[in-house]
Amino acid sequence: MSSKRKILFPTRIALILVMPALILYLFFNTWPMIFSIGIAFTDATQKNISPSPEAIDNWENAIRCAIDLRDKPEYKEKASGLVNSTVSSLMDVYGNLTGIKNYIEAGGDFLNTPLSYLRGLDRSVRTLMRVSEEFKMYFNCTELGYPTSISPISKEMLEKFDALSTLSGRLQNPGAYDNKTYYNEVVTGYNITIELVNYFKRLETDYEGYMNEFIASAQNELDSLQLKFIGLENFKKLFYDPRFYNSLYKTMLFVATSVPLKVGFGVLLALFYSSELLRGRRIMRALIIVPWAMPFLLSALTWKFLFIPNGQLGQLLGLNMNNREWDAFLVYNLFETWLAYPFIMTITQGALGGVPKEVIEASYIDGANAFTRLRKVIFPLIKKPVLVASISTTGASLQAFLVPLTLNGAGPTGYICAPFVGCTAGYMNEMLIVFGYYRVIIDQEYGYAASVYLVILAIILVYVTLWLKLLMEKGGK
Amino acid sequence: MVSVSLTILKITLTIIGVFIAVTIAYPLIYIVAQALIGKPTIIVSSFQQLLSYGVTFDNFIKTLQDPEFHTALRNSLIVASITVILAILVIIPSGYAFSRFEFLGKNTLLYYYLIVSQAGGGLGIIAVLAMYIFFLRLTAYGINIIQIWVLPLVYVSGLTPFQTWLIKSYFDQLPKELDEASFIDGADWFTIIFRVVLPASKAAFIIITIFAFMSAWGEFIIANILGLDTLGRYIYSKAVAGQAGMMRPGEFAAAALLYAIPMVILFTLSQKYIGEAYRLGMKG
Repeated sequence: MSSKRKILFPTRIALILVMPALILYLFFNTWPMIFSIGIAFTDATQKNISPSPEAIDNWENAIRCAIDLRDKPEYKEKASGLVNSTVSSLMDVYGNLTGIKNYIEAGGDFLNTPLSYLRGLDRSVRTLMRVSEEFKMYFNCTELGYPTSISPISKEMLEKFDALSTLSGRLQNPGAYDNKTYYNEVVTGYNITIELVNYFKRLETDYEGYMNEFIASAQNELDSLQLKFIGLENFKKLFYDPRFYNSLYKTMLFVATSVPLKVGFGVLLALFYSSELLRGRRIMRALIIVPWAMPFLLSALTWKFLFIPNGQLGQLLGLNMNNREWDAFLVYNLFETWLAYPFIMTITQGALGGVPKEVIEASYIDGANAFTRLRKVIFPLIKKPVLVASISTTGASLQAFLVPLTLNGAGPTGYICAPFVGCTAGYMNEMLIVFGYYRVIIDQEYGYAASVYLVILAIILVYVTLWLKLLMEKGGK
Repeated sequence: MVSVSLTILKITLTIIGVFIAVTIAYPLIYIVAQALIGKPTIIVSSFQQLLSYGVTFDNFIKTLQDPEFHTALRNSLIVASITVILAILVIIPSGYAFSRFEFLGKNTLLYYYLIVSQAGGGLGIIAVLAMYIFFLRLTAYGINIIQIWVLPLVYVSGLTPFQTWLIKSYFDQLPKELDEASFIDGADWFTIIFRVVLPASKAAFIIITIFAFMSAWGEFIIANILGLDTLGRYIYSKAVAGQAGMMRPGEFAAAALLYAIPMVILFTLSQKYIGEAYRLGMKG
């Protein structure tokens, strides 16, 4: 038989049939999870998860360019010449500005500022502009064969040349000022000049050191664009994150409140609507599975409209889910119950199919004995399917995501405290899955987020394993 | 005497039953009212507003004329159709193979599919987050696959575990002597697939079509994370997560109802098949 099967159903064909779906599944689900294990040990953020190749090229070229400028003798020579003439023109500017400054401070009328100073200032600033042009041309990495928008010579400093030039132009016409503003302008120019002198003196005396410093800082920038292995840092952070403990707490609480609600409501309604005593059961049954038939998004929109503070039910019940933590939690429970009870109800109805109708009816009519009959006849029949369905719906509560997310974004925001680890600001009703989701979507700290959802995954897997084990045992009996 | 008290009991129970049923269906009644109200900028807080502002189809007309709604609707139709076709093309053969063939790793794979399909929605969200980060990382290497055509692939991959089980269970029910006989008769694969397997798997096609269409049409979280404009994302990002819904509640109520129509029709048509599907899935 086995050999016949092998000939009739060759493995080769089986693989061809299974592969397309499997490849899709592996590529879009399994592989990203494995990939996440790697990401969880890195410092991945919005900045370095997918840096533009241009940004990396930019910094790499700037570094290569700076190394050339540092090491090649001809650049060194040219650079020192340029720096020399810059410094000497700067000293000229400095001298003239000091002259004007001293003149005014000594009580001189600013309107009669000696022309020699003004002309001298104008002349020296013009020289400076020429040198600065040469600087821009010569220290232009793109010109040197390393296309980049970054310059080893501080752009900020080169821009100060321009500022100085406009300032000098304005100072030529004292009539447009009053004494105080004129003096202030002079002082501004004076300060800029001192800054420039310091900067270029540094370049003159320690050219190599300057370039080394630039290369180091460029290297830092380049590193921050690349993923780094940071060991267990992310996991450590998770275990000191109050939001994590809050999400565990809220999730467990939600399981404890919503599961009894869903199951109780589902079973009760199944018992109630199975009664032959009701008129128009068909229509009623159609109405009570409305939550099942409505697409989730429509339900979410409706519930949001109903329960916002100025919505119909929000007003009626005095609930403010946008500002009050526990109001929101209550609405989650109501919504989850409304969404999920049809599942329990249907399962129960299926199990009730085996109960003779007279038994149910009798239990309604027979006041005193009703409870006993329910317990003795109906309960044993529905026990097993309802238990299995309850475990399944417990999983849904444990993984609550869409309910808090759609109703109010798992809000409100506020201070979240956890014993021993402190407090932090966050979304107060972040359930476990929302916690993982927000670390990706809001914080965009992908390395941390990956460690977060891997831990959540482990929690879910524990639950699934327990459930499957229970199912197997039940099946075995 | 007994019959009088029985009648009273019947009436009381019926009244209670109607009350509960109407309460449960109330959100549906409410959202229809919200979509029909003559003043599109208010959130309905009492049904008297329907009388004072009037009832109109303007909200639906306005929504249908909105170019953003058009783009989203077109995208959703394309995505859902491709999802259905792709699901049929890859999941039915896969389910068939799991039912009929013996190959290395078959049981491991089936077990794997079982675990992930029973783990619930949370696992799905985590897989999506992981996938999103993986996609972001791919763009660092110049590969940008965050585009509309990727959605059907993602949806079908998500459907694979559960639906493979479903189709496997379905084929398990069909007598395999049928295919075996054809093999022995010397039929080639082409003949077997088109003459024997396909005609017998009509129900499988219907199940897959309904499930794939409903999940692609109804999905909005993945589309929203990836920033791809489907109808679900349009409604979610504007009205549920965003503030536009508070400004124009009438129009968005209308949009959400329009969005719900195909799903409700399919749901109603498919009651029988969905019941069947869950039964098969549970049995697996």
